[in-house]
Amino acid sequence: MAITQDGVELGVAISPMAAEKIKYFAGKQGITDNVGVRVAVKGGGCSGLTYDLTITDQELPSDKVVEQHGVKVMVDKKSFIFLVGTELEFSDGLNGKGFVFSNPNAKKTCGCGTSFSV
Amino acid sequence: MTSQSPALRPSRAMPGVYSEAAAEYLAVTSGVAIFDASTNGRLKATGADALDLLNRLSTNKVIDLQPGRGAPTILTTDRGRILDLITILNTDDHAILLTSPGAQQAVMAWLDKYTILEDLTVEDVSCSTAMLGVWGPGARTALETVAGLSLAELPAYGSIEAMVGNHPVLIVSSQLPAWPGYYVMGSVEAAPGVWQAVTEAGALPVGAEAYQAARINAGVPVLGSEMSDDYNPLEAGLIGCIDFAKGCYIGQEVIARLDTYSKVQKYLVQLSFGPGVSVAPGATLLQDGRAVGRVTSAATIPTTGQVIALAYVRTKQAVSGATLELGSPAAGQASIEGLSQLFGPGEE
Repeated sequence: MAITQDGVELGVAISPMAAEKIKYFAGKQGITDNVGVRVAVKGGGCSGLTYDLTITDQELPSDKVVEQHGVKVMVDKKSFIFLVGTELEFSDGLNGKGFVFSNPNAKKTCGCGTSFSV
Repeated sequence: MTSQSPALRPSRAMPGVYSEAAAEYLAVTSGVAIFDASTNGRLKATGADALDLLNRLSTNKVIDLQPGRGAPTILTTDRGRILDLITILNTDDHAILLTSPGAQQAVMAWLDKYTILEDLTVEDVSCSTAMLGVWGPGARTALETVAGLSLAELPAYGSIEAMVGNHPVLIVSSQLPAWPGYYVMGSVEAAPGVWQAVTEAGALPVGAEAYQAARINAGVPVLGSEMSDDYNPLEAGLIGCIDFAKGCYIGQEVIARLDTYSKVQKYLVQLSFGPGVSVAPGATLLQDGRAVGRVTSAATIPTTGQVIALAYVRTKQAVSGATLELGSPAAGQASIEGLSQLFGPGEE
């Protein structure tokens, strides 16, 4: 399943708010140009697979890269299988959850939403 | 003492009796025993992410294991059920995973399923290595004698390289309070020489009959009987092998909820039976005519003839001292001696 934006196929879509927060955290790490976020999947979490976000400006040759709202979203090929169609948002506020994934591939999600199974 | 050195080879089934079951039982429980533990799986995990991934997939905290240290941990499904209880040994440049007998392929497949980007290679070395168990309160002295070193400072699940009978081996401490022993790993070729050296130091070869009785008497669950996808670690009395503070692992949410809300439905208990009672795995246990449990393993203590068993019993009835009745076609009474808690009661 794939989503498109302006005719471009996306693996992971990020919201404007998520992009702003990524830029904010990148700035904290001293990255102001070429801001990117690596979105990956790791084994673990309550349900078997868990999301992993890393601020980076380093692309890998095998990455699928799409720039959205001024942020390069990089997804490795293996993680892409689990993430295609996923939307990344940011839930702000005192009781906000931070970065929140909406993943159409997830059949089950744990209570805190950071782990899933397919 | 005759050594009765067997031609050890991996996957060899333990003989029923080597010499005499009563003497073998006494060796395990109050002397020094040696047995072939080669049917336990041995996996070699290489790669920078080995401990990190295992920490994310199992119940205990293993991410910070230093070289020479180890820990037991339980691989659980996302429903919190048991895949296997394994022991992880950090031997510096790789980790060794000791699995239950026959579980090595399932464990490898499980690790492979969740290895996405991690630097991890897992190799089954069960057939290219052998493993002996040296058990009983005298095990340490016997091994110190044959290895020419002190094991006093070796912590539980710690491992140390040694020479036994001119063969390089890895000695692994497995010092559970009710089930103290050591594993000795080496090449297949080394095993007969190691076996001979340890028996010459006083260890008595122990077969399946005495081993099974001693295991049940110590309340040690095994895969397929007390551990499986039908049970969670809390039911199996393995709470002392769960780190409730380390964060997420597969099954953590279910296990934490069961513990927090006291929702454990049944517990593994140790049973003793009256004289002459015949009991087999699968036997139903009743209280006031209602089925409240099921026997999972049973044995006769060779020295006394006492019949003992492990069984899952509903939480309400799983009380020390309680009396249960065997369901038809068996007949007789069982007394609950206590809960099986292999790694202790856990932290309050």
